[in-house]
Amino acid sequence: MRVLLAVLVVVGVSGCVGPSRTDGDFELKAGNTAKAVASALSTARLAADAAGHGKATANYVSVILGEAEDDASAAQATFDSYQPPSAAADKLRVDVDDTLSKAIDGLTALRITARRGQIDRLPRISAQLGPVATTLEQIAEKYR
Amino acid sequence: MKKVLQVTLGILTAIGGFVDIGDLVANALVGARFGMSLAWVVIVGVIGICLYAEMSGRVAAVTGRAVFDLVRERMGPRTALLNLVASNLVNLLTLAAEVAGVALALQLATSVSYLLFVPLVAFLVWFVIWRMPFEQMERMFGLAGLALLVFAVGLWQLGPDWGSLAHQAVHPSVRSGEGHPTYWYYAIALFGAAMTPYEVFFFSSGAVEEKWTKKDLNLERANVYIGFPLGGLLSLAIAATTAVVFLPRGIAVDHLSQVALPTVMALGKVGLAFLIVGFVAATFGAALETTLSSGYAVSQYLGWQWGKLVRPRDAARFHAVVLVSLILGVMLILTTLDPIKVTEYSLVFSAVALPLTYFPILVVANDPGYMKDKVNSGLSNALATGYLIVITVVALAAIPLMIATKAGA
Repeated sequence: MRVLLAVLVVVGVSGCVGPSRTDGDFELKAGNTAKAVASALSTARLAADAAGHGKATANYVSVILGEAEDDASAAQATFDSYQPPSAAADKLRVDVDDTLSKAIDGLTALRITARRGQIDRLPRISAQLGPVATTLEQIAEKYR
Repeated sequence: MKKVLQVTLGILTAIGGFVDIGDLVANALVGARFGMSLAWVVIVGVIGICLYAEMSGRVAAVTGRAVFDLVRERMGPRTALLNLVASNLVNLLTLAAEVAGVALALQLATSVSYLLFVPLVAFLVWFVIWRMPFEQMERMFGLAGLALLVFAVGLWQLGPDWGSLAHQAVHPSVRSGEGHPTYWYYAIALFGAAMTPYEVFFFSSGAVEEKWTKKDLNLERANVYIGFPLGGLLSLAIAATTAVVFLPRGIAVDHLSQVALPTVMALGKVGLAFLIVGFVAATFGAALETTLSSGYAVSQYLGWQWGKLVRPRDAARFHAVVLVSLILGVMLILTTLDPIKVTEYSLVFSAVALPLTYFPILVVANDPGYMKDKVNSGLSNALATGYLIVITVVALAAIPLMIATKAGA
């Protein structure tokens, strides 16, 4: 019984957020967050383009865009909960957060547009998000 | 035509069991992350489930009794109880995930939150189990699940580099940026998805429900050797679509909506319609299987009347277990736990429970007291023993790898 309890505790805490003790660790977390948000943004842009070309229904694209926005927001919230270990990490946090916020604003715009039924406008918004997507990929690559 | 319809038990078991919510998500996730480099696990899983499903179906056809019934008698009540508890806990997680899977598919069609659909889906699952004849149930959901073949059409329409996909599959390697523990964690999840215990419980109990006898052994084998490889092909097609579209873009799969996206890009709204029908049929079929499997396992262990062929009044305790399992599954999902996470955990815990399910089947299938001249052949035994070793290693490695990789993060 004790062994079972110990296993359950270890499994339970294995998903918890860990603290950042060094700049290297914080950078890795920044990279992983950028990767997660880049993934959500790429999914949303593919869905938006498909819908704009008449390939997806409004209901489907509304669901996928809502989920992408939720994922990106959750990733940003988790990143913001990390304690930056130094002044250098503070600066990185601000820079990364700025890009994350731009991505999430874009995802919100896509979701609102889709739910208003303005599907034909989605590809244009998607195209405007290209530079943010590139920046996120660069952050993810730099701090992997 | 009659012959074709007779293999629907295998198709339902495979579509509902092999391509359930766990497989839909796991294959898409693995394709997006590792390309086709884990395709070998699907093939190993298909061979393994064919081997053991054939055994359990043969046992049912020869003895007229389902696997759990014989496991208790042959292995004793204590060993069988351990098996019962472990497999029913995994079954409950899987059932919850399948009900959520149907609700998520309906959400894709309507954009209404899946949580609102969960009670309705659970009611329909109960209603179908209560009212619909077994044969009609398996034909309706097994055949509707074939709509998922749209994944293969979508893959062809995407115009992939077939040589590259084949190279990834034939020369499996861990991609840069991914660790070996993560690769093996997902290999175990895929293997667990392919060999989920409820598949053999359902298949053998279904064989008893269909009153298979020794004369039906060829039909039984046709069900196994058509149904499960078909499920395996679908799994590979799902992984390939995400390998083609998501892998180069670094997209991770976390939602059922994403599983559909490559096919939607290739085939448009028609493809989406087929996908939603297929998702609903496969996950609803799996929800029926897992719910029934809970009732089958408990009733067979305790020696109660069970099955859909028996009037509900005569199998009241079987139907009570079915209903309670369904309610527990629904309660779990209504806590708003992420259904995809529930699915992923159910696959890993399923891997842990595998030896408890498959070892007793191997023992019973070799017992001439039950099987007479239909015991396993030497080749079957050699393969099954090899698989049992793999299954044991997988079961021992599953939880440590889950902790080491933070559940594949």
